[in-house]
Amino acid sequence: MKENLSAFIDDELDERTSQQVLDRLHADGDLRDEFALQVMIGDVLRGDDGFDARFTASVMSRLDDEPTVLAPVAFRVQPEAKRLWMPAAAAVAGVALVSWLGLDFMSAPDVQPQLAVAPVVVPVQLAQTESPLRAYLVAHQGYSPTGSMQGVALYARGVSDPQTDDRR
Amino acid sequence: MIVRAVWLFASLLFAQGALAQGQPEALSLLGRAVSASQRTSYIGTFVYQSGSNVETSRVAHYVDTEGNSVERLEVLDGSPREVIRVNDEVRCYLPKEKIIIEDRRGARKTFPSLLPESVGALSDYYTVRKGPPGRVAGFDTQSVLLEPKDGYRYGHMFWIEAQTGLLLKARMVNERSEPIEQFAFAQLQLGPALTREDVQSRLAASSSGWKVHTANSTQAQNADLGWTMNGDVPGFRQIAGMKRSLGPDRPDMVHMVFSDGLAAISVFIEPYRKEDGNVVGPMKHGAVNVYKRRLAGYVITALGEVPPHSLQRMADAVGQKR
Repeated sequence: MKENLSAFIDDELDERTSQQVLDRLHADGDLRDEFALQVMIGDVLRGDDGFDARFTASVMSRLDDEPTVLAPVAFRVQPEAKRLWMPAAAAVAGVALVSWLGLDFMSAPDVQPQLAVAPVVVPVQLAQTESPLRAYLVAHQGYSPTGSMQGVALYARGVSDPQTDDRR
Repeated sequence: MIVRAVWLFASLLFAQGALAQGQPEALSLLGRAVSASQRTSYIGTFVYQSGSNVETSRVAHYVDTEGNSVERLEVLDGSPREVIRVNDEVRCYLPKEKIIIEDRRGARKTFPSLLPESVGALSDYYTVRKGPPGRVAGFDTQSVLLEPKDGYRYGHMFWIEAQTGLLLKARMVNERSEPIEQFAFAQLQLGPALTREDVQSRLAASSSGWKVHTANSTQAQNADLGWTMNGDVPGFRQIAGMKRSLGPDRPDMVHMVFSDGLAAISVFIEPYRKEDGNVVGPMKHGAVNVYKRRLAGYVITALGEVPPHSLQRMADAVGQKR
C-alpha cells in the first residue's frame, strides 16, 4: 500500500486504484500519517516553505521505528520495489560519472588552448656541467614546499647525475 | 516518485560525505610530516629515481639541544657528491667538477611555506585524499594522494610513517599517472643517538681550491625588483622575491618564487652574457623542467617540478617595469 501511496501522490494511479487508496486513507490512521509525511517531504524537496521542527522529529521517529535487520531474510523482490530502487542507484552512479567527467571538462578549457598555442616542446637533457643551472636548482629547492617534508633528501635532485647509470 | 527522490537525495549526501571523508585526515597527515621532518632525528639510506636514473644516498638528520637542525646527504653511486644543510644554509660538494654550490639566506625566514596552517589551501588545486596503508623500509605508513585539478601541475603521492609522521616515500606522477620521480627510504633508523660528527662534511677538508658558486640572497623579501608579471599560471602565487649575488664581478640576479602550496616555480632573471650561449626553450634536469627565454638584454629562466607548458607560461609572463 505504501508504494501505491507514493504513486497516488504523484497522480500515477488509475481511477480504481486511486479510489482504493482513498478508502484506505479514510480507514487507516497510520496510513494518513504516512501520507502527510510524504507530502511534506515532497514540499521540502521542492523548496516549499511551511514545515517546522516537527518534520525532523517525525522523520527521526520513523527511522527509529524501522526494524533493524540482524540476519538476512530471504524475500521475493517485488517488481514495484525493484523499480523503486534501481533508478535511484542508477541515478547515483550517473551523477558520480557526470561529476568525474565534469571535472575533466571543466579543467580542459584551461589546458587545451595552452597546449594548442604552445609549440610542440621536446625537453632536452641539460649538460651536467652547466653549473649555473645547478646553482639555480639549489636556490629553487630552498623554497620548494615539498622540501619542508623531505628535508635534505630533496637536494638529491640538484646533485643528481643522470649519466651515472650510463657509465656503468 | 517522491520516495525515490528522497532516496536519491540521501544517497547523494552519503556519497558526498564519503568522498570528502579522509580529506581533513590526509591534510593533517601532511602537516604532521612537516613538523616530523624538522624534529625527528634519523639516519638511513634512500633511493632517488627520476626517469631511468636511479641513485642511492645516505642521509642523516641531527637535531641538537638548541634546536639546530643539521642534515647530511651523501650520494653512494657514481661520484660521492655531498649536501650539508645547517638550518637554512646549504652547501653542495661536487667532487667530480670540483665545485661547491652554496645557498645562504641573508635574513632567516621560516621557509619553505608548506606549513600546517597553509596545508588546507592545497585542496583548491588538488583532490586530497587518504590512500591505502602500506609498508616502506619496514615501517607501517599511511599514504596521502594529491590529484591535480588541472593540467598545470603534477600529481603527488606521499607515504607517511604512522608513529613519527616522517615522510618515507614520495612519488610525483604525470597526467597519465606515470611516475616521473620518486624518493623512497630503503633502510631507516628513527631517533638514533647521533652526534654532530654523523652530519659533518667528509669533503670539506679536501675542498680547498674548489670553485664556489654562490647565489646568496642580498635583499629582503618583496622589495621592488624592477620586474612584473603580465599574467600567471593558475593557482601559483608569488611566495618570495629577492636579489641574489652571484659574485663581486657580476650584477645581481632576480629570483622570484611562485607556488600552489606544493609545487614551486622559480623565475631567475640575469643580464645576458655572451658565455651564456644562445640556448633557449624547454630543457630539463631529471624531473625538474626548465624554460629559458631572452628579453631585451636579459635571460629569463623558469624552472620547477611542474609540466613544461606551465614554465613556458610563467616565463612568457615576465615583463620589465617601466
